[in-house]
Formats: sequence, C-alpha cells, structure tokens
Amino acid sequence: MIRITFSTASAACWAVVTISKGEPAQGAHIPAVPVQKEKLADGLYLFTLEAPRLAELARPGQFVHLRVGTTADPLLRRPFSIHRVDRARGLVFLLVRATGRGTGLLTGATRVDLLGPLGRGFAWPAQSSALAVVAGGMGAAPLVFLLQELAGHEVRVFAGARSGSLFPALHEVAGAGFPFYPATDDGSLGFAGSVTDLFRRETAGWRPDLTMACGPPAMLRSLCGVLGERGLAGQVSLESHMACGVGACQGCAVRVNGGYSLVCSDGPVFAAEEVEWS
Amino acid sequence: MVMRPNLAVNIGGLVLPNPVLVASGTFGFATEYASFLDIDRLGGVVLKGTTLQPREGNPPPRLVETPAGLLNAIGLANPGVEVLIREKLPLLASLACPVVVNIAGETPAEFGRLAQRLSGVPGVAALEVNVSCPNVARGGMQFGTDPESTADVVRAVRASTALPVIVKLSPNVTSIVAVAQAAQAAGADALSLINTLWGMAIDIERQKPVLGNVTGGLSGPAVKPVALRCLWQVYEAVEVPLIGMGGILTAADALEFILAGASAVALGTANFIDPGAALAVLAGIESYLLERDIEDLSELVGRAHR
Repeated sequence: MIRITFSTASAACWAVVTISKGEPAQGAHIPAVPVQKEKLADGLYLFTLEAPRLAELARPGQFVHLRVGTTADPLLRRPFSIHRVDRARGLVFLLVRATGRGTGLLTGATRVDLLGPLGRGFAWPAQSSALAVVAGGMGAAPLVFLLQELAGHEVRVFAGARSGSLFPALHEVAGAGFPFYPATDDGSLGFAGSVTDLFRRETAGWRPDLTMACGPPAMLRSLCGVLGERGLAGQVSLESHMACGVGACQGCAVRVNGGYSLVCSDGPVFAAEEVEWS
Repeated sequence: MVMRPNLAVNIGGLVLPNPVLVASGTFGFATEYASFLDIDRLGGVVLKGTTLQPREGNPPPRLVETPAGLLNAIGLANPGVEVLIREKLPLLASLACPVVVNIAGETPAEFGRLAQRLSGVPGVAALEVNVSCPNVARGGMQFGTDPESTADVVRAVRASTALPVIVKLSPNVTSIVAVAQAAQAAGADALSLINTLWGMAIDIERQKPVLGNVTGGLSGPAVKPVALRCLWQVYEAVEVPLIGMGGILTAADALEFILAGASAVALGTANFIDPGAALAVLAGIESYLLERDIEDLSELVGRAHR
C-alpha cells in the first residue's frame, strides 16, 4: 500500500511516497477582468474570464476573490473556486450560483475586480496507480479543473446529486473521460443513496492512492470517516466565509490537526485525516 | 515645476513618510499582501495584536458581513511575541516604511513586559497599546473603557520602553475624551482611534448568535460617522497627535479625519475590499493638496475646527 502524506503532516504517517501540499499562491490583483456570462439554469451562471496570467498560474482547488459591487454594501469580496481553465485561449471559467445579494450583483457586471489565484489547491503524486475524485453537488465545480489536470492518470470519478436531472458541473465531471460512478438520493441515476455510501462500497476491493473531494460539509465529513475506516489518504476542499482571502485577517479559521488553520491561505484543500469536524 | 507637498508626519516621535497606515489586524504581518501592492510606499504598517504567549483565537464563525460593515471576533489569534521577533520582524525590518507593533496584555505588567521585550528589536518603530479589543475575555476593552485602568496600562508601557507609545482607544465608552486624557496624562505619545464598535448578529434560522464568540467588533463604512465624532472630540481635548481610523475607504474619507484633527490615518476593512486602497487614498490626499496649493499636510490637520 502506498500512503500519501503531506510534508506538514504529523510524524505518525509512514510515508512511502511523500508529496508536498499545494504551493501557496502568489496571487495578483486584477482590477478589471472582462467577463462573459452564460445562464445555465435558474440562478446558475458560467462566467468566462479573459485572464491569461490567471489561467497560466491557477492550480486545481485554488480560488479567486471577486468584488461584487462598487458601493460599500455589500462590502466584502466573495470567493469562487476555479471551475476550469483554457490556457491556450487565456480563459478562466467560474460557476456562479446567484444565491445572495452579492452574487446576484455579479451577474450584471461586464468586468470584475479579482484577486487570484489564491489558496493551496490539490496536490497529487506524479506517479500513481489509482486516484479517486469525489464530488458532491456544487462541489463538482472545481473538480472539473482537477480532472483536466489528471489526464494520463487512472482516475475513478464519484459524483453525488439529489436527482438524475444533473447539475451542469456533474455532466462535465461525467464527461471527463474517466470511469464515472454517479449516486442520486432519489435513485434516478446510478447508485441510490449518498456518494459516500457508493464510495465505501467501491473501495471494499479497490484502493486509490489518493482521494480528492469537494462538496457540502456533511458529505465531506462522512467521506473523511470512510477514508479513515479504510486507511486511505485523502484531500478535501473546504468552504468558509472570508474577508481578506490572503491569510491576513484570520477570519476563516477551521480546526485542523489540533489547531486553527485558515481556509483561504492554508487551504482550501486540507489533508482529510487532519480536518477536525465539530 | 510643481512642488510636491510635504506628506511626512511626526506622530509623537514616530516619523512616517506619509500619513496613510494600514490598521492592526487587517494586514497580517504584511508579507501576506506582498504580491498585491508595493508595501514600501505605505506610511506604515501596524501589525496584528501581539501577546506574550501564542493565542489560537476564537471559535468560528469569526466573521459576519453587515450592511456596509463587518463584524469580527478573531480573538487576537497570534503566534506570540517570541515568534514575532524570531520569524516575522527580521523580514519586516527591511521594509522602507515603519512598522508599529500592536501589543495586548491581560494585566498592566504583561503590557510592560511586551514593551520591554520589543524595545530595541530591529524593525520596531513604535508600539500601539491595545486597550480596546472587544473580543477577548481578559484585558482588551476592559482596560480601555475605564480611564484609571487605561492609565495603569499606559504607565506600565511608558516605564518599559523608549519607543513612541500610541494608545488605541475604544469607542465603546460614555466619554472617549476622559479615556484619551487619562492616556495622555499617563505618558502616551499619540492616540489612535477608533477600535471596533461592540456588536452582534443573530442567525434567525438557527436562532443563535452568528459569531462563535457571540459578540464581535464592527468595522467598515458603517462606523465612520462614529469614528469621526470620536476623533473630533478627542482632538479638542488633548495635545498629542492622533491617528484616525474607522471605515475609511477613500481619500475623501481620510480627508474628513484629517480635517477633524488626525495627523495620520489608517485603513482597516478597506484592505480586504481593495488591497491597493491605502495607496489610492495616499494619491488622493496628495492630489487634494496639490489642487489647493497646500505645501504641507499639517496645514490641514484639524482645520475644520477653525
């Protein structure tokens, strides 16, 4: 068995393959990025940003911090994970769900003010025999970028949704060219139940070197439980409200490995075994 | 040739190349922002509140956005003064702009020890005495809401250092003037104001307070009128120079504080919205002076009182 550890992990890990955690970002402030928007569904938009340098620098799991208005209210930027990039055309794609007043304002803009790329993304071994990617709902968004970068690896893709009328990002992870394992709560597509239960079933006889996941907190929590039961290494991408996005304000603290870490600059991707769920 | 106005200011012995600082707790240890702006061009950097021992801070959630404002309850999360000296200040000593260390103790004696420990450390230009943090169980605002307790802390710091001592005041008081006068009488070289306003928010779905710490400190444009009123009153009551802060986003905001009596200003929450905000404010102040043929910024300080 190959055990993946992080350079920052506790000494208890017995490392056969050691990979360093994703490098910290050297983000930039780009005040006026041209953006085109396509409405994919009610309240869901695909943003296409013309940002060649960002496309070049960004790594899967990293995010951008967007200013949503030009007035003092709403005040703070909003973080969005990078959905995928087209480096040849210098484009960066975001999936934006317009749920609140801030994200609602964004859908009217023709240019956006962004900081990015920010955070530490996923990191996987250059040589692996098997990788798993697990998506829960909207958490599929950044995993499309990850799957782009995993070309050439043996990857199985697990994705959970409420129903088979799949969220667009799930179509994209399904179409990434890897074996696809869907799970739906209503059983209308694939496994009837949670993606975590499906993952548990599939890993009874198959051991990925590394599992990389993004999704709602409850799903990631139960996935971390399964990884622990099976003794499998994993990385999970967490979300938090943020102010600065660069590690200065310490507002986005989560409990990791016996202390607080910052989602914006220590994460958003963390070692599954280190996350302490409250 | 147009003469550039003089923007350098002397804040109780702390000489700043220009009057625009970044406020404690909003700029980390400065290096976090290195790729977003030219930090050397700032008037100065005030570091995150530093305690004798490391503090991990309050349980999350630590932030909530409010109308034109931000409530935070970070809880003075910091690595402690020894790590600051060993790992952070050596990097900051090479900055062109002065670095001010914000210190927070639970007793006057702790403040004194922090001041002593930081005196003579390369890269430390002044101390800002935090008697106004609303997010800690002991110390913080407990001191800054009482003139006598404030004076006790300031005396302990004054006796322990030759560095310029700036006392950061809380707005959560009946009379900020009384606290300001007590700080001045106890030996403060300058005052900075205001710290955040004590507030809270409730999640009506969970039917619980939003913040892990229940209450927090409000900052951002929402607090600016309160900050300005505090500064106005304190300017009329003390002799020492003032650093104005509280909701400054633009040069116009900063100029209001200067006209009310601030010799320098600090940007806090604005850094989160635009990392370049402090430099934009500096450029705006300079333009304002040039347009009006004002040769020295000091001519503007407190002018609205005259």
